[in-house]
Amino acid sequence: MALLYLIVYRTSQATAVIAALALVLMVGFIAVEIVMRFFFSTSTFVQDEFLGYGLSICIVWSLGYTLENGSMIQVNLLSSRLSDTTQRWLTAIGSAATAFVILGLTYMFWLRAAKAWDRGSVSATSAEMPVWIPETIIAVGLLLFALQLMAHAARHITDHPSPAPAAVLDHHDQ
Amino acid sequence: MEALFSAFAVFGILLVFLSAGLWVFASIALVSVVSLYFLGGMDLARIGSITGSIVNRYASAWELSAIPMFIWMGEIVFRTDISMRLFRGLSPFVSMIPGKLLHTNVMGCTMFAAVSGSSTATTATVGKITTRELFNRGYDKSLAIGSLAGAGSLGLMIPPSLVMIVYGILAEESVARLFAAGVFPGLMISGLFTGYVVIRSLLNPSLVPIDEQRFKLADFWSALGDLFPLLLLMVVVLGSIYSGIATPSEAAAVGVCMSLVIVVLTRQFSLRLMIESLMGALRTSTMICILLIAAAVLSTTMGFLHIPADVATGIASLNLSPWGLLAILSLFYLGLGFLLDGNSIVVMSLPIALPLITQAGFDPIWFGVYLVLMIEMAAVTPPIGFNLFVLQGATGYPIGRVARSAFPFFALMVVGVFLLALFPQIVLWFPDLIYGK
Repeated sequence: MALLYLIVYRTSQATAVIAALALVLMVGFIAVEIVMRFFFSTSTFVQDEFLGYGLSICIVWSLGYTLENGSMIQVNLLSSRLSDTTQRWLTAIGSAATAFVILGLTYMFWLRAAKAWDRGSVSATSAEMPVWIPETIIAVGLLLFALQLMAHAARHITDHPSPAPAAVLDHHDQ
Repeated sequence: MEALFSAFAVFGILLVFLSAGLWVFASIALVSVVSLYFLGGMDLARIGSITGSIVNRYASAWELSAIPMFIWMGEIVFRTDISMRLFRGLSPFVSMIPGKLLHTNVMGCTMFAAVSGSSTATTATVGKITTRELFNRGYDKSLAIGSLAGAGSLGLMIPPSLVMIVYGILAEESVARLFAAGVFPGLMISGLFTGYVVIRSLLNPSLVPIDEQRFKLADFWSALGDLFPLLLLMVVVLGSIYSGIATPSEAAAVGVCMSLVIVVLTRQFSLRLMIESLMGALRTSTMICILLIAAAVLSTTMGFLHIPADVATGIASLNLSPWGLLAILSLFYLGLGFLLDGNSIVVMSLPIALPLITQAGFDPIWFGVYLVLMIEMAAVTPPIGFNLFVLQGATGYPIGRVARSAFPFFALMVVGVFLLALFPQIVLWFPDLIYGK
């Protein structure tokens, strides 16, 4: 099981690296757009659309990494008073229930992507991006997140430590 | 009556999930699905279709891209020597004011808030230098901790502010206007804190050590050099928005580029800095964005169950004056502040609070600033007060002592709320001046 947890976590980490690259590209895209607008009075005309695609990679592809590193906010006022075993089971049940919802959502995005593919839908911009691409990006990200959630649930049932490095665990920001 | 039952049921289920220690985003998502299924009588396919559309709309909303970029900028600044420079740069100037270096907390946080949208980052960055320096030099520990806890929360009010971006998107208000609206209330709160430190220091000189250090003119020039990188970043970020060169989202990218230029010029650039700042930014921004998406689903759920409209009708039937409504909402937010973090408070309460407040005739921009101030107060109230946690970690003192030290500053923020309510122009005059009414 330890190997399985590690493989799922490494996958989450790898997709988070892709998300980080997307963030770098978003910054670069905006810099180019501002330079074009300010110095050459023209535009890429697709900034908003591509920032949207970049953002969906940023958010959805780093969900598993964020979750396993303990960065998702919890209110553990009451649960912290429960025994370790009860806490673990509550976390496992909650993770499994969330995984169920995310899997349902993944299926919906799969249906949306398949419909866009069949119809040959493209975005209503000059880029004419095939709609199935961003829909599939979200579907894949959600599927990987559901996997991480199921691994999280199983890890708590088997009382296995997190494969995430301790240095980044429980990082919260507001 | 049915809507009232639905409202209690939704919040009841939400409380159960939250109490069980489930993540806030998951609690909100699950309560939405459960409510639509059991209370709304929808089948799972329809729920999936509705939720899918909302997730698609928000996950690819370009306006949200400001969040990861502003956080990345803050992470870059947080991981470099900017805070040390800030302390060195402010020291000669504040030494002339009663309270001396205690003002590095308030002024440091005020300045740092202008390049960071987060109160935790502001408190942690300024606090990692000032607490040690102030303690070592014999300044009153309570006043040092309290002023830092209070002033750190200014990170939420002074633009760029992450909570204001979240509010702007959910309330469909201009983020640039909200940023402009936060400037003077932020400075007002900062002024209240500074005034308090001055008065306490004058009434009780033993709070401040007798310091024989005299600064020469050269020290002031050198101090300006230390402050220059932060001032440059402030001017570039805010200047790009208000000069019309960039939108708030684009200004975030400008800020990232500028901060990278600064770290290269100050020879602090490294691959490790890039990786750590990027991954830190991803963790925080994903946490906020998924919360926003879940909140949008909850908001739609409440709409389907007619909760906001019926609660608004119910409250309207009480014939409360606008001030009565505001007083009740303030107590409600104070209560939420004891339990939840700022972003969770905004996303959970807005679907009900915003229609009420606009119906009562309050300006939504003013309400955004008021809400941010309430959230600032939440950041210094136990048991869930993020600034208190940061300072507990930085000083090693128990949370109770940190909270007691922060209490006078919490009280000053209550004064600030009254001032904003009595004089709404403190909020509105600047955005009106820049963007027109």
